[in-house]
Amino acid sequence: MRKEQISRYQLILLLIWLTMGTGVLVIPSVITEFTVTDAWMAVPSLFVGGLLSAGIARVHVKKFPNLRVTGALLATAGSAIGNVLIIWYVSVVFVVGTVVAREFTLFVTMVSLPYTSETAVAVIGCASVAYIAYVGIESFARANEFIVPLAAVVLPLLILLPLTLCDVHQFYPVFSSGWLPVWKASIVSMFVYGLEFSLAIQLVPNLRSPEKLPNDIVIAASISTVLILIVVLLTVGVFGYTVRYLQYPVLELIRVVRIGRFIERLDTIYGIAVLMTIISKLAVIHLAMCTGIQDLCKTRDYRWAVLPTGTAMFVGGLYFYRNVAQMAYFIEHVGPSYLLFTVVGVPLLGLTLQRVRFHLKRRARKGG
Amino acid sequence: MVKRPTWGPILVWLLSVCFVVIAYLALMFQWWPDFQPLYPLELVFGTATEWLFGL
Repeated sequence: MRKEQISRYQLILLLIWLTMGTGVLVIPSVITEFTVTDAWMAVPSLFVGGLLSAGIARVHVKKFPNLRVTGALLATAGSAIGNVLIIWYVSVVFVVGTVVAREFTLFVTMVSLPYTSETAVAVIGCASVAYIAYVGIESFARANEFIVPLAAVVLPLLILLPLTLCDVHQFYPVFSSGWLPVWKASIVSMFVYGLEFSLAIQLVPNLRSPEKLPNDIVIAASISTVLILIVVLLTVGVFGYTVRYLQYPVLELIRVVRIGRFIERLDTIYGIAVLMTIISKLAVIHLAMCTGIQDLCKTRDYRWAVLPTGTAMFVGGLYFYRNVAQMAYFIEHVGPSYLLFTVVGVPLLGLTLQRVRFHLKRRARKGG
Repeated sequence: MVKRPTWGPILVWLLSVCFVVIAYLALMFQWWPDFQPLYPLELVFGTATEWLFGL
């Protein structure tokens, strides 16, 4: 079977959508919950999280240039404990997938289809994501390239038009409550969205140049940080403290854009863009989960897992988080340490076990 | 002689059945409003987040 591979450019695009997909919805509202005037200072933490992911990717590709995270866990921790660590990793990717799937259903039902049941929206989302995962990463990455020209046309328009409503005075006074609110506002972007870049390590066998993965993560993290920074500056500059009461600040920002009677209701374009990026994000998460299960079961292909895991991900999303408050609580209060433990702690545990096994084997050889 | 996998196919079947069961069970749980399967995670990692980052 021919190995599906993607180029560096395609990987960077996938990684940008991986953060922007839900980041553009969640990060502005999470940051402004803690600080409004200094919200822009919390955004660079996303880049710090990206650097952390790039560091982990660097260690990984140096030690295991052809293996996924799950393959590396098996190689380091051995068959028995390695399988346990893979089950943990897959379960975490599954839970992250349920959060994103829930964000998808919530966004669609709240913004564009208020009279449609969430289950119906989830079925449509699940079908799209499962199909993308089934056709494979190569075709998906090629189709994903098509989003770029669209974004290049739409994005400057969506940035420039609200700029006329922006008021610089909304950013004063600087450091109104000190550093602590800025630190608290940085946590989610750094340890939830920044560490999501590490999902790319699961795609290592599908990369044409895996040795460049850390650089690609840094590039994607810097582009995403700049885009989120622009979004946060615009939302705070236009709404000021009102931004705290908005569920989707960016959507509201684009809704207020109006020039004469000719240009208005650009939120439709924004909605389409968000849906495309969330589906793209979900597809990457789904692929990571299915390939993890493939390593766990040691099968030749992952496609048998696409439909059952996709269904479980969307249905789990609906019933794990009954409403926006439950989902927001999980992202803010559970997500940071949950992802930090999984992305940093679990590989460290695997490496420690590898050292221990190496020393035990050497001692046994000397003793024998 | 190629070694045939013993546990792989069994695990594949078990997992696919398990995921479908999760999906159907979750559908049934809509009549149980207090269903909170992620509570253990919330307890452990919620405490850890509070302890580490003060959130």
